[in-house]
Amino acid sequence: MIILLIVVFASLPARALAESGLSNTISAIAWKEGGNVKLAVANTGNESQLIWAGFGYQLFGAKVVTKVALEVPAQTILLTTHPVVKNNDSHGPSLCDMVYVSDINGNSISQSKIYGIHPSTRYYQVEAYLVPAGKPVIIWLGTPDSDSQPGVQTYLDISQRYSLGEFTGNVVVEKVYTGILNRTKGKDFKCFCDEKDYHHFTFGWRGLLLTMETPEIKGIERLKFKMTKYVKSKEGLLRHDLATPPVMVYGKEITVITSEY
Amino acid sequence: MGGQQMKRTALISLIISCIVTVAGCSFGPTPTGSIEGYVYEPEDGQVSRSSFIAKGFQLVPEGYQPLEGALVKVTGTTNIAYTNSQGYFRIDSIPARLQTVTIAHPNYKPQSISVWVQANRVTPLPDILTGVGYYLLIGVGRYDSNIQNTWHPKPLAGPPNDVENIRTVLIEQNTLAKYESIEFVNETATVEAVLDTARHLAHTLDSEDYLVIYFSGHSMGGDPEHYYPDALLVYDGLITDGQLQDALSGIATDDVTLIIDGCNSGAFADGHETWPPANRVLRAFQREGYTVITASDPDESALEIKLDDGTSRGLFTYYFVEGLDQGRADRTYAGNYDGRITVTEIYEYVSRKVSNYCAKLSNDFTQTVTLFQGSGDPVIYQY
Repeated sequence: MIILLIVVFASLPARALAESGLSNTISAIAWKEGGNVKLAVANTGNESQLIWAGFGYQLFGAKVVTKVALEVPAQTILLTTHPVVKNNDSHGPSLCDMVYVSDINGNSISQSKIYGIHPSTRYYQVEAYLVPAGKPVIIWLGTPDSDSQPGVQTYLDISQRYSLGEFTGNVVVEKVYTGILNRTKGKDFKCFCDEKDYHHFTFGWRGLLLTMETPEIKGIERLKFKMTKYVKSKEGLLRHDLATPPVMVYGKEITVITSEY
Repeated sequence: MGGQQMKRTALISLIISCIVTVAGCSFGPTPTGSIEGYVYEPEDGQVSRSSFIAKGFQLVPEGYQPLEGALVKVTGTTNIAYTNSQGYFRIDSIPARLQTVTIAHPNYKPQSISVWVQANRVTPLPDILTGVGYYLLIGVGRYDSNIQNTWHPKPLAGPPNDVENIRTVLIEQNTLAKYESIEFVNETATVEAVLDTARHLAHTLDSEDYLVIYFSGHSMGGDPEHYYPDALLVYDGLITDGQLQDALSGIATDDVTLIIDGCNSGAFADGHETWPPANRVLRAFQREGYTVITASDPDESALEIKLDDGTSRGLFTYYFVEGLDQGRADRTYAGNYDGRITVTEIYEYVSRKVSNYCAKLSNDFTQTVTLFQGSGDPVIYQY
């Protein structure tokens, strides 16, 4: 089922995504869990598929540091666990924050940020990236700190509806968390200070709790909704959409196989 | 017989009431709206500038002062106003449709502009541009051996095509103003050439001129705490946001537009200057009057696509050009059918098109167009 990994340093073909014929049946998402990376590859086709999963980063093109071959059975989500891959090159991030999936001929099928490592994913935490249809999707959304300056106001618009294939549903803001201070025993990093000389506090999670009830569906769909961020300063207005986490919702006929490699 | 007479009477009454109703509809109140704006004249002693400037927002250009007593008239109506000591005017009760507004003053040549007056709203006057547009177009998809060995960038086929398309639509087809344009493609796009040109333009432009800098190629940024600066990759090196901002320092105009089609390009819009190591309060490119529109947010890649004819384009540039061409962005989404395309209109067009394209891809790829607007809603294209 799983073929051992091959360590390479290679570049995938240029920015353009030459899509594989498997792009309609194979999709993938990846996230950091503990000290590892979880990779979920879904196959909605009727045949088992052999694919390459490359761990790398994006810098003037896709850079793959290491890749592993996986065989994904039909009508299955294959969930594998991998170590966090370090990038020893002097350029680029220190940890690989992208997964590139291609067919055995090297044609690109999909690419996924590694949620929890890629910088664009720092806004949120997800209770589960794989959700059985009929169960709720739960996301904690944090407010970015870097725009907190005097005279700067940050606004966030979240769509009221999500889409899941052809179905749409409500995005519910269950809770709004305001900043609070919580006592803590200390810090999990070195501060070059004598801990016993200080009271220790940390900021509580500051943000929103979003829930989305999902219907019963067949196959696998990605849940999508929209978030737009506006930052208003005396100089002007900045706006762009925020990437939303890629939750996979799967029907009863889909099997989830968990495998270590 | 009596019954037939009654039927005829009823029919005549029905016809008369229909006519009255239709007449009532035809002669009902016409929706109206208002326009407002500001008019400025050259400061005393500025003999090189012979015309006034009109804007929809209160932003006194350098070297100008409010023009009091200018007559503002809506063609074909009796609606007029005179500018006050702040150069401000407002005209109400203007029939809501495309109107022509003329501004006149004894000391200057009159100028006219089209305005789409919207019902029950106050429409700011679109800018009347009197200066020259300067365009600096840069497209890089090939690199010297030093860059190849250091950064291993993937060659890109799209940038030269992107520059050509931008030149054709944004410059040559644009009826907005007189223009001068300078292009650097691949081997000619060196760090020295681009920055020297930017410095030259900064010394050349007058306050009523405007500058557009367009770039297509590899770019980087989005993580100022760690590994690399916000930068454009040109043929022989990096041009950082700070270096470009420094090259433009002292520029007389505040009408500067930066358009970037590259990965992580939103880093040029987020105001965080990363190199040279800088005080973030500087807010590079986040200046009043500046506009920055980029292909992606600071953390995203930007896609290059292959068209049916086999040629490559940046996805963002493809839809940017499409939105300008034939005024499409003026007639969809945020468009107001006034013959001009503003930054907001092109942003709404391009961001939706890019987002919809990516949503159809069978993977997790997202690309979100980013916009910083310094002030107002500048016009970038007229057709």
